[in-house]
Amino acid sequence: MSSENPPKEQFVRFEGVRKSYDGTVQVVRDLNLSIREGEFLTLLGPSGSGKTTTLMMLAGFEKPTAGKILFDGQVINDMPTYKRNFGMVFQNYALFPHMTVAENVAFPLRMHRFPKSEQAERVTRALDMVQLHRIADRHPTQLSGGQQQRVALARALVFEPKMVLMDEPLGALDKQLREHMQLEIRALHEKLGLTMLYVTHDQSEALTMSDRVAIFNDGEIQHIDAPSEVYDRPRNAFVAKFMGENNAVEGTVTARDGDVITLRTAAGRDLHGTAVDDLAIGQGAQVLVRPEQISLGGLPADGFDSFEATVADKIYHGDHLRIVLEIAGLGQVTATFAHAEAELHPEIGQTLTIRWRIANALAFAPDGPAR
Amino acid sequence: MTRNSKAGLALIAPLLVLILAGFVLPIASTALKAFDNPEVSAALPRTTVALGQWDGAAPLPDAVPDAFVADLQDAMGNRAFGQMTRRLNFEESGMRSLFFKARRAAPGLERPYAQALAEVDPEWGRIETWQMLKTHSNPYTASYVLRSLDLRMEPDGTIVKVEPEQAIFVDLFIRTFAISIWVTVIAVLLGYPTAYVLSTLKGRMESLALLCVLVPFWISILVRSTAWFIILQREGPINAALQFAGLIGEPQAIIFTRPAVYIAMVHVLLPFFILPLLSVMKRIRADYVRAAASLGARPWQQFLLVYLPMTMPGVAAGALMVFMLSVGFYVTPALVGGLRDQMVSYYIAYFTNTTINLGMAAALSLLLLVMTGVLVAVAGKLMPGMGGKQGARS
Ligand SMILES: Nc1ncnc2c1ncn2[C@@H]1O[C@H](COP(=O)(O)OP(=O)(O)OP(=O)(O)O)[C@@H](O)[C@H]1O
Ligand SMILES: [Mg+2]
Repeated sequence: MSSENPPKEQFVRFEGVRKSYDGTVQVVRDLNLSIREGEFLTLLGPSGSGKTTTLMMLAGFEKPTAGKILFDGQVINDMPTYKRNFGMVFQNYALFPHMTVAENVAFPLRMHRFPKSEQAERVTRALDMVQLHRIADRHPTQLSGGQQQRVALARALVFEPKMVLMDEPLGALDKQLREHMQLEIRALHEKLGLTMLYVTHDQSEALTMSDRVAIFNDGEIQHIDAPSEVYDRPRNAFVAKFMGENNAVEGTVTARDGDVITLRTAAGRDLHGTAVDDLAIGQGAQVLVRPEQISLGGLPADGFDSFEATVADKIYHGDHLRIVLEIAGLGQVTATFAHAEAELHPEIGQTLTIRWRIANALAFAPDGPAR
Repeated sequence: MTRNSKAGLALIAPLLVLILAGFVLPIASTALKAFDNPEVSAALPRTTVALGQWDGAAPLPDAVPDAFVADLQDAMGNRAFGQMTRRLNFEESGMRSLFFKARRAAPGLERPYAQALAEVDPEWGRIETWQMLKTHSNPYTASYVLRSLDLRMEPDGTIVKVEPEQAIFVDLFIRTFAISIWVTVIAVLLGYPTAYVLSTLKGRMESLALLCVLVPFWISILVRSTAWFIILQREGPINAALQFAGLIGEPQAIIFTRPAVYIAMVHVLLPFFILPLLSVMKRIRADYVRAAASLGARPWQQFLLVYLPMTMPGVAAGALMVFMLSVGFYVTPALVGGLRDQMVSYYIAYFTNTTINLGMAAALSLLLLVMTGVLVAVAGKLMPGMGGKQGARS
């Protein structure tokens, strides 16, 4: 990849792509998506939202029902997979059981007719890269899950593909190994400058690894942006609720001042929220507050909502403390506190003053009936 | 032995008993039967003792004909005598009448018996006749096994080929294995694509297709072979259809030919190949072929380098099954094949039921078992994925 040229903004493009397996249910609807050269883009979304289908269409295993997929400006809808030159890592690794580790890694080099001497050299380098040169002669069934995953990674990278696609590559690993592999994959991405399209439904994985995250739901991209943007400034209630934890308070809009709305709950309590959706007075709405945005104590101040709350429960989590608070007229609200703050030692039944920034209390239209 | 392994042994004890009773014992008794040679010693006990003391070289000691005549006089109306003559006649034709002549004459014979017997029939004056009797007075014999290989032992102990018109068994074994190999090859070629298509079907189509494979499987081999007999016969539907289509003028002989045997045997055995292969194919996820494609493999490379090797254990298991079953096939070739298409089992049945020569039947069975074992072992060494490598890993 030439480093002089600026990275291409539209390295991969989905234009109005639709996919239906059975002709009635749209698994992917009107997908428009550009992938930048060299970026790490993650598709994140609930099960069945069409992430794998999107990846399969890009890999060439499935054909779009409508729309175009372009690679480097060229329509590739009808190009067979083996010509596309994308490395792929599967959830179950898909290592060939009848070949040794070295033979597996050499497979793409054989297919792409690399000279024999270069093949050996590249296999060695690729196995070194994932620290597996010692087990080159073993068969995949003799490897642990993490080792198999690394072989799959080495195999997908060894022939310098134009792009790497991964479908939940870490899904079968335990938590510690998964976190370790996340770092390794991220480091490889940085080192090789590859374009990566990554599918997961683990949001912390998506947030820590990606340059950008595309949130899928119902065959559509709900929000695509940098991880912090998606998390802090979700574009709609689905994204807000899908990412992290939320306390949702429902009510009716009674006033509006610029972005800030006043919401009255059914019990008649007022609170404020920053409108993301277009909300009119008299309309139903919900305000979402993340547990980590709630702080203890502090006086009422401009830009804050503060409430008296009774401690209903508290749960020790090691690195943080979770407290369930009962707020009159609002219902139960969960808050998490770092230990420094928790030194206040709230006891169950105790009454506290809590507050949160109105800018962090996002207001959305109520959840519609599921489509 | 630890307590655990004792308990384990107790658990598998019924299985061991079953294997012993249903597998080891029959094979062992067959093996014994193939070498068993009780007829002469049962019918001529004294002669047997006398022959045992003779070194086999001329001249014949008088003790032998003496004992022989004594035995003959006892053997009047004796069943063992008849069995012995049948046994010896199998070794050399003419023996039966030779012995009956001697028995008829026995009461009137006078010493010296050697001479008297030679007067009854000059054969009794030849040392070879006595040598042969000595050979077969041994309670064990290799002659059944030798005969199964178209060989026989001369009275002096050398092994020679039997006369060409009697040499049928080597051809029989070659034919048996050739038919089995061809049936296996045809079953593999027809069964592989079928199993592949079956493995790609889903839902109702899958159940339906599986049913189509299984229904013939559930019908007895005899019934299916008879059906082929009807289909293939001169006046059968195939000939009728070919004639109707104007492709042939006269009905063709299909029945009682080698192709008829192939057709019927492949049809009977195909499910045995398809089912194990199908179960292997079902377990191969689409990801493997997709991975190969993403790594640059063209469709034929995806098949040859990834899919085919991954299905090899299924191919090997199915082919082995078909081969083993065809080696022992009896009913189907007997029904639709000609005399030149019969396999070893046909002769085993023939020796068991028609000529009641259990020694021959046992020798043929034993050789068939040994040859099949050797062939399968050699194939296992030569063919990758047919055991060894794959099994060691999983
Ligand atoms: N080969 C197929 N045939 C028919 N329907 C399919 C096929 N593959 C996927 N689907 C359907 O398409 C929808 C989207 O599936 P997809 O695999 O893309 O979801 P996903 O986002 O990857 O989900 P997950 O997180 O569970 O992997 C699902 O409802 C699924 O049942
Ligand atoms: Mg998926």
